[in-house]
Amino acid sequence: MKRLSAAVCGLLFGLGLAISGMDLPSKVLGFLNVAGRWDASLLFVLGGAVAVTAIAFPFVRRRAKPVFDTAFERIAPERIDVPLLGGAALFGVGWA
Amino acid sequence: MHDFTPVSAVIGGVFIGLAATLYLLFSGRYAGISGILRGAVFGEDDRGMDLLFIIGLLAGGVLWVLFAGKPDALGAPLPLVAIGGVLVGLGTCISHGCTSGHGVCGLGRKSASSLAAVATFLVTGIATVFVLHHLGGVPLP
Repeated sequence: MKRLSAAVCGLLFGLGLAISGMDLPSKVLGFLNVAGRWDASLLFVLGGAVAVTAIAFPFVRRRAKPVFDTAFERIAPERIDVPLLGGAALFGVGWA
Repeated sequence: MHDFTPVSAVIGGVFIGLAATLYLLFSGRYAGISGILRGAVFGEDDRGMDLLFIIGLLAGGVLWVLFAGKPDALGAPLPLVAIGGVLVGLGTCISHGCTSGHGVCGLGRKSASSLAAVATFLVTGIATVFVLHHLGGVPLP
């Protein structure tokens, strides 16, 4: 069941990317191209997604454990450091 | 295709947010695509789960293409795409996340470090497009 749920979540995620056009290089690059014909769509995708997660995550985390597992994934403590920013910087360059 | 599409963007975004929420609810994990892909390739923790998520992800994209029409091809020359792929892989490994991990899940957790990561990769992404396209003459798709 846990694996089936992963496939369903993947499917939903893929549908979301495709519906929003975020599987298209032209849409992503259109967003990053602020000096040209800027396409703000990606901001709306992120906004729609974060609106859902920001509201729903706290409700999910109120449970003692996830439905198909024994514990929630632990997140590393908050730290804004060189690996975080350097890695993110590399990702941005590669993303474009 | 540089048209602004806010409606499909928000609908797609809500799908992505729901997928991330259900993934957390069912499996207890945060849906970071780069991390899931790494798990599927190198076999961490529960490889079958990571693989099935990726298969579902690709199937979702294929389904939508069958339903809505053709996607566009890669816009950049292949060597550039390859360099980009390596940088994406390195960057997400080092900073522990990409657009989905830091963007969708991290911002959903109201994480300050994810916000810093998102701001950083937006700036370097925009700068890269500017340098390659506006200064370097590489065409955009």
